[in-house]
Amino acid sequence: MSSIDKRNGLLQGTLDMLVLRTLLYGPAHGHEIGKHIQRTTNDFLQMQHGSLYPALHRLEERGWVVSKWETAPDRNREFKYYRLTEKGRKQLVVEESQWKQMAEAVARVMWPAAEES
Amino acid sequence: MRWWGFGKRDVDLERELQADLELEEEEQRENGLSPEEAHYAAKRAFGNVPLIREHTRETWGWTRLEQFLRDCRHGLRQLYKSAGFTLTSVLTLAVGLGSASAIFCLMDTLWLHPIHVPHASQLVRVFSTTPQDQEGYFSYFEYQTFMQRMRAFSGLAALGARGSLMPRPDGTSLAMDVNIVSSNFFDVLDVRPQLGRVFTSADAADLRAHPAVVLGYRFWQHEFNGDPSIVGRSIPLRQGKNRIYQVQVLGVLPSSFREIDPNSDRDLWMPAEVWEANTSASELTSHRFRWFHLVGRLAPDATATEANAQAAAVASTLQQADPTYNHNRGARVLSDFTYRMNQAGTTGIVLFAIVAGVVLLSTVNVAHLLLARALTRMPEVTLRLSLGATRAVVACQLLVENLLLGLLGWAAGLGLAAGMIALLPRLLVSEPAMLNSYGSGTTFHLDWRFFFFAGLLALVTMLLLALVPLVQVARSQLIPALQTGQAGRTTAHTSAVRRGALWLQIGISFALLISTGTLVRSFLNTQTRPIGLTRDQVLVAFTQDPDDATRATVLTNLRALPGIRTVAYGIRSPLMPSESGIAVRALLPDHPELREPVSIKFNAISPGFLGVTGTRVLRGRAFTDAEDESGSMTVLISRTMADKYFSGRDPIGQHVRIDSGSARGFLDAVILGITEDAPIDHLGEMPEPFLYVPFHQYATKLSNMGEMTVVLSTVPNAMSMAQSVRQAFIHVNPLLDPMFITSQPELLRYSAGNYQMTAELVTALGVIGLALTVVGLYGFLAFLVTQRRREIGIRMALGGTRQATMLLILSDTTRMAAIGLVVGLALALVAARIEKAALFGVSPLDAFSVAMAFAALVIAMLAAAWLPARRAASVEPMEALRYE
Repeated sequence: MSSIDKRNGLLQGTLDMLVLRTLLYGPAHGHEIGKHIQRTTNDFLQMQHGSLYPALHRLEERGWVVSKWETAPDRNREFKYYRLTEKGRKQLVVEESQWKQMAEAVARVMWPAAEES
Repeated sequence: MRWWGFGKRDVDLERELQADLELEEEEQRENGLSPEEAHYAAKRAFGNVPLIREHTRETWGWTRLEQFLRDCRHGLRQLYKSAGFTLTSVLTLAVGLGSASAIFCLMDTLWLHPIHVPHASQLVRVFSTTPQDQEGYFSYFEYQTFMQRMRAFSGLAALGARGSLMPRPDGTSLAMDVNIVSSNFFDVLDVRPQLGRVFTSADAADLRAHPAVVLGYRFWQHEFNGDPSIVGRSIPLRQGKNRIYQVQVLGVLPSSFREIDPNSDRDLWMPAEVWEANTSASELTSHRFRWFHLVGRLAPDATATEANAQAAAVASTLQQADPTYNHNRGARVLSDFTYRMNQAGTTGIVLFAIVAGVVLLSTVNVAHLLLARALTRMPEVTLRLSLGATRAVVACQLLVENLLLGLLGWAAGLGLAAGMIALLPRLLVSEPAMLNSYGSGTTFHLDWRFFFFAGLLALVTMLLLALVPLVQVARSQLIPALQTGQAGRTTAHTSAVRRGALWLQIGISFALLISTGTLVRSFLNTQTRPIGLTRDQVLVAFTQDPDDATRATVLTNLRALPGIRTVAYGIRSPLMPSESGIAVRALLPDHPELREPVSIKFNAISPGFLGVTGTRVLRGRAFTDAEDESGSMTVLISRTMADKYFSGRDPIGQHVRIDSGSARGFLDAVILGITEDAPIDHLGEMPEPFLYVPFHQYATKLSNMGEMTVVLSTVPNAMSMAQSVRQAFIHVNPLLDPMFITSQPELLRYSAGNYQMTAELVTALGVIGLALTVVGLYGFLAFLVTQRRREIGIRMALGGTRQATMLLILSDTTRMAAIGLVVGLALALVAARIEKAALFGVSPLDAFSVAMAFAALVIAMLAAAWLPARRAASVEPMEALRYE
């Protein structure tokens, strides 16, 4: 089990990518995003709120997401919903390809035999 | 997002976190937890909410601004906490910046401010020069020659001061100050009128037939109540006894242009053509009359140096063409700026040095206080550094604090300057009280130049203050400071710098105090020393000279007035505010240097004149009624003339030949006596040869100027008699209404004005300087005592008495004072050279002044040392050592 936190060694920018990818399904509020990442990874990545909210605000500051207070469909209350912008969509593509390159590079070092077969 | 959206965004974040936290709690409850358990589980899941908020805020990218605001708040709190320190620093800065700005305003108004016309930097002044006089006047003929030949000018204009009379309905006349100018004057200077139009060179041909003038703004306001319909109307002017001519008012000048010299004002501006056609034409046609200033505008590609060379060449051709009147006469060109700087002269340099000194002192003192305080705050700084604050953050905070201090000081200084400037007109000695005239009314403005200067000062000060925290943080050493709760030892180096600053300060104060002493004594001397004039009540009335019979009637009427002791008359009386003394050409047949005629200043006087003005006859005898027009001419000569031209011989009974100015040529005159020297134009001038001629002989044998000044010694205050004296003149003939009536004490007061003004100003600065030094010394000693607290504790623990401790601090003060005083004496020697010319009857290093300055400084220093010494003496050994 690991937790996403910029202080624990997980690569910087990974969390941003995960958040952007999550928002590809549609607008979501902070809690939903955290829960979604946690559930999708079968609780492997425990969301730390201490990282999630700064990340969300950072993405907003950069113009990759926009936020709006909206009433949740199932609860009769307003939540702050984040929505992916066009700029964010492009950024996700960039980050994804960078991540792929990185993963492949790491894989080649770690499992050279698998490469041969 | 703007900074004021800051709070809103914070609330938004709070709400977001709250909403998500509640959602988490609800979900936990839905999972079957009890409400209480759900609450805690949610909190656990979220973690440290304030920390989340903190991290999130960091991403907003304005933490720097927020930090700055926090530093400001923190700084203000710190300044508030040590209110005594803050007050002292702010006051010190305010005094420094305020007085410097106020003095700048004074200097700017008097000298620095250019003439208020477009492209004033192109303006130059042209002066006629002789070996004796570097700023002489030109004749109108010379002006015309220069205008034709000078290629370096795009235009050259002439102006000369004259008086004129405007008849009033009651038969009396209003005396006006008039500038007679060449018709191109306003073209050359590019002056635009406030109303109507100004005359130009295009009008020149027409002006004789249709005389026209332009009014000065203040005259227009005073005499015509600012009535715009005056433009186009005609006003009468009186020439001589019977002739009245009309001139048309073309326009009114703006209030910004009153004269080319600051502090002057003219009622009327008249083209030379009009003056020539309606008054004494010879004043413009004769080569003898030199009374014009020349103002030129440089051609675009010319420099003042080129113009100067050209002017010298023109002057030398004039010299060859007319050796009689242009013997030894040259010309020089000065840029208007240079001319104004020359006018400022040593007074200006001294004032500027004082401005710089005061600013430097106050800033150094505040820096000093800051350093002293920095020491006591060292534990706080080091603690913060050791807890992980970066040096940049701490320095930044201290910087903000100091800048706040500087800002407060600057604001207070601006307020102080505004107050001082409001008082400036009182510092300037008002013109002599006069009947029939109003003063020039100098005003001071806070214009952009003032604010620019004040801003510049503030910037320099702030930069100096900003240096302190940088040094402070760079020097802080963690370990020793934390161990002892004291700062690490300041090195010997910084201590020497601080001592040096203090020595300099004590030195400057000492020199300033010495100057204060000598200048005050110098001013007092003008009030008490024998000056060749009486300080008793003498009324002075300047009017036209009527015929003998009328004059006799006037004098009889005046003598009959109650309160009048003696009445006498001459052409002029000493110190009169008109153009400098009148002169006559004279030669001494027996004197090797004076075979050729020279110009000697003179006055024609009635018997008893010298008795009224208070000029003593040293040898021989004064004029009596025996000196009338029948016999041969007689003269009295001044002591300086006797010393200069008759060294070793007795002048009495010798002959002087005086130019009659007519076909009669030079007339022989016998010297009857020698008088003491009396000031001619102003107090403190170098005495020069002077002649007195009996009025009757002058009136009949020399060229008569048609002017008369009646002097009356009065029992009550002279000015209180002015109105009845005026009526006595008018009663005989309204035309004799004096152009002005003033009193000799008033003329003396005005003439001593420069001495008074300098004395007042330097006294104020001496007091300010002393106050600054006391603050500086106090700051330094307070710092020293804090620094040596432990040492003092040990001394006491080892048996040192409180007296011994106090002596320790006082001996330190004494050492410092001794060195400071030596520095001061050195500075005073330099100042003495500059001051010499500005002193009246006192030497610049006057022993009495030095002694007084010394006493004042020692007392002030002891006062400054008293509190820190007391504090040192009250150190409790156990308390001081407990720090170990």
